[in-house]
Amino acid sequence: MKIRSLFRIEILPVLLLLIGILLVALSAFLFTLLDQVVHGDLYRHGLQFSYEWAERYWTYSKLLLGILGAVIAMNGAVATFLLFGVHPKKIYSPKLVCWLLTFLGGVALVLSINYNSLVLAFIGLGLVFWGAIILYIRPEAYVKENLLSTTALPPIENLSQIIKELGYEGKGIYLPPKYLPEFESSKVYISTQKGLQLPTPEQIQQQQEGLFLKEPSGILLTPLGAELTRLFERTLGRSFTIVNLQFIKLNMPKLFVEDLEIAQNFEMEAENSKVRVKIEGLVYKDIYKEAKRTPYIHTLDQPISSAIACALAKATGKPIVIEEERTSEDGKTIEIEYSLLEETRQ
Amino acid sequence: MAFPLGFWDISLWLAGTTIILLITSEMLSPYYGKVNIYINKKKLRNAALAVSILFLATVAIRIVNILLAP
Repeated sequence: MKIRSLFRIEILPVLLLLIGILLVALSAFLFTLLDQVVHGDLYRHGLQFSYEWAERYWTYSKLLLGILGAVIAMNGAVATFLLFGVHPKKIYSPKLVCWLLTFLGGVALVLSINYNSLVLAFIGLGLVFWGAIILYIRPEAYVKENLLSTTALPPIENLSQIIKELGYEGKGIYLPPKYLPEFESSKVYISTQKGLQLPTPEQIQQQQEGLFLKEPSGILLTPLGAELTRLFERTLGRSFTIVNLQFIKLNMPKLFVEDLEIAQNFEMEAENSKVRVKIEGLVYKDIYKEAKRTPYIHTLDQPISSAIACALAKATGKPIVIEEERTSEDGKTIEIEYSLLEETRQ
Repeated sequence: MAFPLGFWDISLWLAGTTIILLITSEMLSPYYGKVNIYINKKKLRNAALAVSILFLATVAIRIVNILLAP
């Protein structure tokens, strides 16, 4: 019973490790006594010094002492982890590998100076360097791709259904900054009637307090991609309100493919009042595939389409409508067509 | 008790390391479809460029040495 409780509180393993350390230290001490026998007693019994045997003897004895030292260090580290309750699972493994490589490299470098060894110096230099590199290029927080669709779809479905049941049947119009009191914010306007009924900036600004607009009748929502647009701006280091369509066209491919790594290919074409976007290998593809099966989701657009629409509205200063979204059968290619509305149309 | 590697040994080591880092940073490009490798590619590329600059610096020192040698 006592032994079980000792195991539970991890004192016994620590005790065994400490005994191990003591025994190894004793072995090192006994070896130094043996060394004294060689250097003292054997000379008195006729041993003749020669570099032929002395060099091998020195190498083996140094290696033996080095290995004993490493065993003591490792046992000491494990005993410390157990004593302070650091469980191996709690240690972030890439970080541990980095520090271990750096530590071993440092030891190899010190030994290379001690033994004047080129091989040890190269090993040490390599270990320290790669330890530092891995520490530097460690990954940022990543989540699995399928988590995106599983967490994002239910709110999109619910919101779409609420909007449909409230009778807002118009297309979502992404408003440019001049419509909004907060210049950097993004809003989408959906009217009660089908078609594109664009309110004036004054009408929007007069009724900013609520979601619902009375004149013209409609709803003013924060788009699903509004926060994503802010992320785009933060990543590019520039607000879309101070750039033009050309900047978006030039920088979006790099942003999607290299910076945020959310797509494998991104193409944007602008022609008159139309902007066409083609995205391949998008991480949100499951949402688009699901939207194809659930018709009412179309009323509120997808996060990526919405984010691009917000960016276009900010950059062009014109209201934007998503005209069409096409998803290939396998879901790998998504084509979105945007229209830049002229305010004279109202 | 001196560090066993000379200046030229380190230059050679830097050359090898530079090649490995530059090739790795290019092979991990998302253009090749490897978007699921969990490392920060930008930082890897920066490290590769930093090491290659160090190597080029050692080469420049060598050239200057040859030119200034009597």
